[in-house]
Amino acid sequence: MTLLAPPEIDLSDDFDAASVIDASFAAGDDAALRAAYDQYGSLVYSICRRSVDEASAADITQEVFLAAWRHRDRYHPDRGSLAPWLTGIARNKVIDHFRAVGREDRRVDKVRDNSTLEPVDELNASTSRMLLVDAMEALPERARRIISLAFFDDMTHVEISAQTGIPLGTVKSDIRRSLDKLRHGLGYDHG
Amino acid sequence: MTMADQEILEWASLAKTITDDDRQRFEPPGDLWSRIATEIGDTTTNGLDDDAIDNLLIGRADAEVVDLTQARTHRAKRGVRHQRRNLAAVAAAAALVFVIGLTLTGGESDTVYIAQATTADMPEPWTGEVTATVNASDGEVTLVSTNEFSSDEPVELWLIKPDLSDMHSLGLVELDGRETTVALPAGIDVTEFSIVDLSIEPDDGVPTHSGRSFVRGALEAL
Repeated sequence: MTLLAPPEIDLSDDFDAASVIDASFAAGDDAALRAAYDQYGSLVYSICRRSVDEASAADITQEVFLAAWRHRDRYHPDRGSLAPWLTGIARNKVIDHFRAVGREDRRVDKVRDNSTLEPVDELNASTSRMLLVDAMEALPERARRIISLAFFDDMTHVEISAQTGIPLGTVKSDIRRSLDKLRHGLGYDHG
Repeated sequence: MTMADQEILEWASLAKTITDDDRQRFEPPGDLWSRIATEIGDTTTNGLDDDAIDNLLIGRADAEVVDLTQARTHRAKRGVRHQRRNLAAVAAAAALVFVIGLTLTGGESDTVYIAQATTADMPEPWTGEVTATVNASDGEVTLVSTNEFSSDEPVELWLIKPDLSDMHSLGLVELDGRETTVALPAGIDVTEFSIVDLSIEPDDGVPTHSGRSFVRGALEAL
């Protein structure tokens, strides 16, 4: 066995702990379940809290992680982050909750009536927005700055480069990598 | 307009609808994790406080193995095509089992650690056993593989914290069925960086972990 020249050690934020947790979860390690809860528990609970009361949100969050763990073989890290998979389960649990309490709740009528799906539509939309918030916040600082200028100020690559002084090639590559990460963060890796 | 421009517009359209409520996060009730752990019958972490769990995860003798085998990191120079090729390799690979032994010597007492890990992202069919011996007093890590791991791409040795917060490269190695010795970087506490990892690293000049690990094991005291 031959020892070759060691590379430079780079401990930058390119080491993506969330991706490691996702893969570890799929592999079925108990420690990964706790790590996944620590990573995504607040997101799942927050999504539930927007639709139901605190106690129900806690119950649903518990159900989400139990269901995810018991059916982890259905999660494929190559198709996206664990976050959209968990929030997809949460969405279904919240709708189930609506239905369970629906006889005394007008919201369930809207859920059942395909012509008026406001609660479900809003649940879907707010979930996507919250996933995007988290995915953008997970970007490295420079990339987050660049992608924010592109998204919120409608700036072109050239304009971002001129505004920030960041080389055009770097702007382009940061945006390309950021879009990759956003797709992964929202579970759009496979279209 | 390119497809990339169109995609940016679509993302921007969503981003511009983000509200303050979307940025708000609520912390789950403090007992929620213990409820989950109780439900799944998790006897390793149920009922422990956070400090205890942290201790559990950083390599105590009874620590659960943190299987990081399909870890992927975002590499600075890796494009979509490269990622898809990696994913195809992951999908095609069969789950294999490896054993890493880590012997820690020196210090107040000699302790032997053994760990087992499974992997599902083996890029090449290879069954083997790797033993890593860390001699803290000499500052060396010795690897012994039972058989050769053949790859067109370099293999890199890493030590990783179980909580995934940090990692160190110990350099490129070749697994040819014989023994090799690698320097342990100064200041590295192997009881803290207690996951041993071997990964395939594309020769693309990117120094960060590729995520293409093929052997990994955590410490377990004998």
